[in-house]
Amino acid sequence: MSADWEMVVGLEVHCELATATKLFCSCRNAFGEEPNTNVCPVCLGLPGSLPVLNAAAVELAMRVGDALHCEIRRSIFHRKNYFYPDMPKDYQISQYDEPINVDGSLELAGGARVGIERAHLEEDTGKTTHVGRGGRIHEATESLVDYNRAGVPLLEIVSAPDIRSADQARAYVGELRGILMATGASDARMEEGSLRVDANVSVRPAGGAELGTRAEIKNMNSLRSLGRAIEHEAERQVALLEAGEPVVQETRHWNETQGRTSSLRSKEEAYDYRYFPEPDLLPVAPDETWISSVRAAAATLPAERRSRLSAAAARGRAGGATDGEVPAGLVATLVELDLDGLVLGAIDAGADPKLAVNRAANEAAAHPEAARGLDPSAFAALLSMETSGRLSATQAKTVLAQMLEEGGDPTDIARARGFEGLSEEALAETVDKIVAANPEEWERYRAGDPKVSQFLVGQVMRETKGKANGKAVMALLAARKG
Amino acid sequence: MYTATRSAGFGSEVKRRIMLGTYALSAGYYDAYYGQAQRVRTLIIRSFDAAYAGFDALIAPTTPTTAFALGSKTADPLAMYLSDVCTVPSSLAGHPAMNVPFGPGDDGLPAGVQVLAPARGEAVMFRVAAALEALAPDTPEAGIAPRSHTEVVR
Ligand SMILES: [Zn+2]
Repeated sequence: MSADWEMVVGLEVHCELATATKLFCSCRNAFGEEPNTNVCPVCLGLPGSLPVLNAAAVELAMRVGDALHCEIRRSIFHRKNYFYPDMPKDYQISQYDEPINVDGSLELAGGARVGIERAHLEEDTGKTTHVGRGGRIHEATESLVDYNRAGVPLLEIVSAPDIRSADQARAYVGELRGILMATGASDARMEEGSLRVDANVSVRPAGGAELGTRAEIKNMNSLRSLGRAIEHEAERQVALLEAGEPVVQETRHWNETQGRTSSLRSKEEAYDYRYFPEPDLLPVAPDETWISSVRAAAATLPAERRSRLSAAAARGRAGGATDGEVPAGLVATLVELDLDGLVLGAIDAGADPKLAVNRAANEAAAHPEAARGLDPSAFAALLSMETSGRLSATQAKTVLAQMLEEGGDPTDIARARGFEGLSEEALAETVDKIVAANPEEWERYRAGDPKVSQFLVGQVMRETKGKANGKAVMALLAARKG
Repeated sequence: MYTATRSAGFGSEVKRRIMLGTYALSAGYYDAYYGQAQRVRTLIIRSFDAAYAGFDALIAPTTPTTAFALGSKTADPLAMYLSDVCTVPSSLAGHPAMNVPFGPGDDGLPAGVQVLAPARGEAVMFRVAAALEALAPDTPEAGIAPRSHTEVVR
């Protein structure tokens, strides 16, 4: 997008709450089961059935509200009326003008702050599958409905229009996913549909104060497609405005394969939901005791875990082999994969912090499941073998791969693979021997000729049949130079 | 399917009320009808609260007239709604109320007295109703009562 324009984006995130049962009945809340098996008169909307609110869903909503710095308050359920086959009651029970969480904020890893307007409870709809060509209703020959999802608790989190780029939108959703998982509120899987994101996109002249006309974009099923859809939509609006045409307020559908959005329904065709208070449910008014118990049991959030890990890494041992800044991206990856505990444990056990972060984020992260099961002290032991020069980087990676695959003690693995043939003393002796045998080259090395160091290291390698660690040899040569 | 089942299954009064409710909740009319009705409802609750400040329960006629003939007001829905006028206030307030059959009117047809009580005032309501029932004159059922209630319901 040209620098003359800026995009303004607000996101609506729907996430399925990880309760055992649905929001208003005792049907199981489970994904991927035989269609229409987790249903009852309440979630099928049969006449005479009455909803009973699931306290666990309210508690999870409060946890998220607390993590997003929202005010948690008395809330009311409304009926949102519309006709669609996935909605058996012909209305959805949702919180409307008095939601449970309001006025929060979310800070992104880069420091940007996105306002949270509200995070409210509502029930999910059933799932329709359109059988036929394109998978969309107007192309279908038949439509199948599965009500297992109808009545599953949802939390809809509505951001303020504070997002200014596709990258920020992705970062926001990524950060929110971390919070939803940390609080145990949701498994937040975009591909499985337990996390769904709609984007309100508008553009305006860069630095402008007024908001442009917005379009709501639906049907993004990954972070990547969210970013693509937002970028495409902003470009489309800029092209319209630059051609002197207006942007129409409407809902647009993102087509992943075509990489473009198309109009779904205009403002005139928008539903009239005719909200009114749900007469079968009382207001939900969590008291101070309940709210404080939720606050007291609050989980450690990703942002705090990141700063804890960064701080531990930055404390780096004086004179450590790899002192220096630890990239924020690696720290974020580790927290996201729940591997920060492994690294913190290894640092506590004396491992070099930066090496611990690197090995965990680059090698261990390829097998996060196995890596989470790794013993931090064994991991630390492996890292120490590398920093002390007993293992080369390549050898250390091989040992780590085996630890991840089969478990085991790094010393045993290294010995079994013949990596540990060379003690520090033996290496020092070999270096002495090579220096003595090549006085001319040694003099040139001492005079500062960089090319000759390669020769000396090569000689040591040959002498040790490749078992020496190149870095360790360099360090020994430098030490001898004085 | 919606149209076929609803058209055949719902009576004209149900259809009329669905249309009225949908209209009152529609964008553009919401504040004028639904919003305004909510405000009136609050006034009714306040008015009851003021009355209950001095009394434990209230009694009143249940209907403005004695029983009218089945079907005699079907053609005039407004006149029919008006026969509910005595019972609607406590329903709007969300308060308990019950009817006690209380002898025939001057025209010899059944009449009722309702007992109104404040929110959660069911215990008082039942006690007052029991006292009223004990005082109620005998209602001559022969001649006006249907042979069985279920017959009418059917
Ligand atoms: Zn159910």
